[in-house]
This record gives sequence, structure tokens and C-alpha cells, in this order.
Amino acid sequence: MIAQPVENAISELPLAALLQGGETKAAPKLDYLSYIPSNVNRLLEPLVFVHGYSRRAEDQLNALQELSERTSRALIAPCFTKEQHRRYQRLGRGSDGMRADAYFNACLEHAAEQHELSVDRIILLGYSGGAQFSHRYAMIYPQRVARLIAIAAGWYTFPNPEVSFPYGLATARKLRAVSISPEQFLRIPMTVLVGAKDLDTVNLRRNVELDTQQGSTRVERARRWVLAMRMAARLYRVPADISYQEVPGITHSFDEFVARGHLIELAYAAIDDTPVQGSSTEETGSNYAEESRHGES
Amino acid sequence: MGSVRDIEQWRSQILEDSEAILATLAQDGDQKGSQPTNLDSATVTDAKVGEILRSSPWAFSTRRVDRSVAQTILPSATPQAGDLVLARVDALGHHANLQLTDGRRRRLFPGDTIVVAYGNRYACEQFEARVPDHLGPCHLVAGGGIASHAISWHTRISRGPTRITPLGILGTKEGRALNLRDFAIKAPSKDQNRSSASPSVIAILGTAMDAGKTQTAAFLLRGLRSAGYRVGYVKITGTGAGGDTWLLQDAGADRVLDFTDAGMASTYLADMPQIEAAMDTLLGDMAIQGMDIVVMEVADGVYQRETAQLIAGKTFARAVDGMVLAARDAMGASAGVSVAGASGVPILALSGLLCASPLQRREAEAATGIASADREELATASIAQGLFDQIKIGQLNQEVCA
Repeated sequence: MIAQPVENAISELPLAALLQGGETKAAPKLDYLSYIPSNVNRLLEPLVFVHGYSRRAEDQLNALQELSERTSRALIAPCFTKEQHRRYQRLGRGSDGMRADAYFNACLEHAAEQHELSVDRIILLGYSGGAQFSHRYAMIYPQRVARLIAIAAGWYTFPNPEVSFPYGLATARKLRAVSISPEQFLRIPMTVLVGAKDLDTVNLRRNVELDTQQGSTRVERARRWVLAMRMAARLYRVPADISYQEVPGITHSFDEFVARGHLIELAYAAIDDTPVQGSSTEETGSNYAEESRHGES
Repeated sequence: MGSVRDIEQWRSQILEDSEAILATLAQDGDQKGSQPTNLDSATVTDAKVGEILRSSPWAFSTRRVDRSVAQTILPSATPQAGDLVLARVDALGHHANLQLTDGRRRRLFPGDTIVVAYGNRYACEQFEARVPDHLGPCHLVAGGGIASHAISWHTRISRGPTRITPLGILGTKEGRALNLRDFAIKAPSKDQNRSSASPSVIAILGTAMDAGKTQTAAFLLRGLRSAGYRVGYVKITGTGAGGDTWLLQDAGADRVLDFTDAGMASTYLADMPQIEAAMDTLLGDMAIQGMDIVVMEVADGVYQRETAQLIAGKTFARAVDGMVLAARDAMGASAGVSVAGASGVPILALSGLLCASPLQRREAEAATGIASADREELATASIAQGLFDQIKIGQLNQEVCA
């Protein structure tokens, strides 16, 4: 089912008027954006969006407000700054000493408290570097992710236990005391999106090993990853639910993806396909949308 | 484009085209042979089953199994704790050897097929592992031959677990899955129970894995034997591995049994009634075999799930006459005494690693008011007899009071 597209009046409200600053009680500093749609259903898993390497979290969040309104789901967007979390895509440790996944969790917990949401289960969306982060996060927190929507990731962690993380699942050296359970993350419903013209190699990590394992463009890498994930699911005898969508005419541009690639529609359809865990009763919150940025100094 | 219907159609087209691309790519891969081919369970035909099972090493955990009963491989069963499984070794990690039924540690090589049992594992110094709900690749989480999915492990284990791929669960000729419980020793009948005197039971508890419980048990058992008693050893909880039972055999135990003999690969996450039934069975067997005293080791620390439940239960308080607590240090001993003491069973002595340090011993004795005994002391007939006398005196007191 596709709902009638809504003219998003909310995003026309002056952004500054809706921004709220705030300080966390303790270090480290958490920085995230949130958007609570006017018809929010707090029982639905919130949408959590992870921005790309160029860190345009705010623009990207604005574009996704329509998705938030249409799904009645709160939207949270943790911000990984260049200074603090240079290697967030591969769950690296930031200058604040926190591994990117721990920082991300802290942002979610904080947002949950602020907006009375549950973040036990989330719909996780990531674009580019954020898609890298998102699929790796889903691998180590499979219980938390109700659906993964990975858009135009530069490269992937393959479900291969022999290869070292972040290329594969052998975490002994890179993520100490973290064990990845393929049979759990292979069960996560996933949507892998990539622009069919995303063939440019600017800002794309390349080396011989990576190109050999995954291919030399985002398109090739997405294809191979989806195949590898499906094959791993067969090996582990779990039903895979991985949808692959190569969107015609789209290059490596978020704005293009939204404007001509109908990203909102595609994401909406993917979320609509997500199996419901347990039953939820309708509960509607305030009638006003609120938008805020936490941690802005 | 713009209407809902248009976009819906456009999206279906994308899905269709994208799948077509993937199909072509997958086909190319197959032709080039670049796709990894996994030895599929389907390749294990019935004709080969006997041959594979004969040539594969059988782990210690399967020691009670009548191998002639295993005649089929079930490639699509859902594993249960205790199920026997034929698995292929994929890559070596922490466990590079497999304990065989005769005690030999057989070196493993990638590609070997082995017969092990599914089981959960709780080992603070090693792995936390659970039986997966599928027959997909998993891990060898104990040298005694336990297949499971490792969830976490001690950071010291830098190589991670050894990886294995199950080929199928062992089945009877009729295709019924074989489980260790099919080969358990029989619970003694009521008549047998009535006609044999119950042995006194001394439980060995500890503050954590590697606190010195098994050493305590072995040396205490030696002391009791030198005092002239027939002494048996029971390991009631833990994970199937030979080390502990062999040590107690070496120490001279008149009979050695563990939960494996009661049909369990391990006791982590087992139901308490099952563990208590196993305790009754094993202690009953000890009675029939004419033991005077049973030294019964309870695995891991007193905070561990099954240990905590077991010592809090009535069955334990009824069956056990006294305890020896193994601890690493005075603080642990003190906490252990307060937790284990809640069971109402008297604590006869402190022992374990803390006895290596005279200062820790003194602290522990002062903090708990309970005497400590190191290994050599426990192995002395007079001291062992003294501990046993405490039980007798306590029982006499109770009778007098009653």
C-alpha cells in the first residue's frame, strides 16, 4: 500500500524556531537531530538515519521528514562529526574514546528519554558512509534492527568468518570481545539501494584487496554483497529477506536520490514490508511536529 | 510519472531488473567456479554414513554412546542440547585438539569430520555459548567435544573459537535423532534405593571457574581414602570434558561419574528438575556401588545460574551433608560463605587458590570464622577425617535437639 503523498508543510516551518539546544549531563558530548512527526505513534520502531561521510545530517534529515510523517514514526539522526568520529563508518573509536556504535547507542538512549520513545527496536537507514555504519551496526546488534535500509554504501563487510573485520566477520583483532552471529543478522529484513549510475570513484575507498573482493564501483559492490548475503543465508539455513534495488539514472548524490530516485517512496515501501513484532495499539501523541538538535553548542 | 500507481510500477520494474542482474552475476560466478562451494549435508549419502562415522574421531562427550545405533545422518533436524552431531572442522581457533573417549587429545585439522554433542557452555575464563536453533556453521566450544554457538569469550582467547559446520545430527536406522540422554545410566529403582545406605555427601563449591574446586575435590578424596573410606566423585554441573574426571580417577576415586553419565552434554541453561534428577540418579548409583562418602563438585561460582539454583533448592539441602568452599582470595571466600551458607548446609572448610597465600588464608579465616585447608592438608587422613567428623557431630547434635 502506498499512502497519498503528503505535501510536507512541516518542513516549511522555520527550522531555527524548532531547534532546541541542550547539554548532556556527562561527557562525552552527544550530538543528534530528531524529528517527532505530528501524528507520532510512539509504539512504532523509530526511524534512525545515519548521514554520509560529507556529514550533511541536517539536509538529509529535512528530506526524510516526509517519511517520518507518512509512517508516523519518530526520526533520530545521530551526528558523527569529522573531528570526533572520523572512522564511524567502520565502527571505529572516536576521539571521545567511544566506539561509534556505543556513541550511536548513547544518542538513541538519550533521544528515547527526551521524547518518550522506545529504541529497543529501530528502523535503520544509512546513506553512503552511513550505510556502511548501518550494516555493520546491524551485524553486531541484530536484535535491535527491525529493518535495514542501506543506501549507496562505499563498501561492505562480507559475511565471511575467515576474513578480518571490517572486510569480513573475524572480529578478534578489530572489535575485541564482539562476536558476530551470522544466523542472527542474516534474518534482518534488508533493503539495499544503489544508484545505477553510481559508478564514480571519487571518495570511494579503493585498494587491490577491496576491489578483488567487492568490485570497483558502488554498484558492483552492492550486487556482490547482496549475493554473498543470500548465499550465507542458505548456508546458515535461515530465510533471507534482502531486497536489491538499482535505481536507474541516479549517481552518488543524496539529493538526486530523493528528487528523481523517489527515495522516500522506496523507503516507505520497504518499511511497509517490514514484519510487525507483536501487536501494537494505536497511540497518538501531540498534534504538533517538533524538531530538535541535541548537543549543538 | 508522479501518480501512486506509476511509482508502484516503476518500483516493481526496478526490483525485477535488479534481480535479473543478480541472477546473471550469480550464474557467471558459478561458471567460473568462483563461488564458494560448501560441502553440503546432502552429499552425505546413507551408504557413506557408516564409513564416515567409523573413520571420524568421537569426542569425550560421546563416551557412553553405543556407536552401532547411529546409522543415519539427519541434515535438517533442529539441534537440541545433547544431540549427537557429525561436523566438519572449518578453521582452528582456541581448541586445536579434541579429547577422545580414551583421553587422548587428538590434533584437529581443517577438513576433519568429528562426532560431538550439542551443548550450552558457561565458562568465565573461556566461552559463553548456546545451542543454535539451526544446523548452520557453529563453533567447537569445549575440548571435550561440544558444538555450540559462541556468543562471547574471555579476551585472552585471541584466536576465537574453532569453527565447524554440522553435516547432520546422528540418527537411528528409523531416523530418530540420537541424544546423550538415550545412553544415560538408569536411575536406581526404589528397591535398590531402599536396600543401599546413602553415602555422606561433601559438596565442593567455588567462587568462580578456576578457583581450585577440582584440586580441592581430588586432594580431599585422597585424604578420605587414606582414612579408610570408599569414596566416589560426582561432578554434577559443568561442561563435558575429561580433565576433571580423569584427575579424580588418578587421585584414586572408587567411582567417578558426571552429568554426562546422566545424559547431559553440559548443564548450562538446563532445567533445575533435570539437574536435580541427575543428582539423584548419580548419588543413587554411588549408594548402590557401596560408597561411604561422595565428593560432589558443583561447577563455576556460586553466583552462576544453575549453581545458585541448585544450592538454593531443597534437593541439595537434603542430599548434601557438608561443603568445602574453594576461593581465590579472602574477599571471595567471605562472599562465598554468605551465599553458599544460605543453603543451610554447614561449610566444613575453606580451600582453593587462596591457600597458596598465608596472608590470604589468615584474612579469610578471620573474616569467616571458618578454618582453611590447603591441598596437602586435605590429603592427610587425620584432617580429612576431622572434616568428616564435623558432619557426624553436626548430625548427632541435630538428633539430640530433635
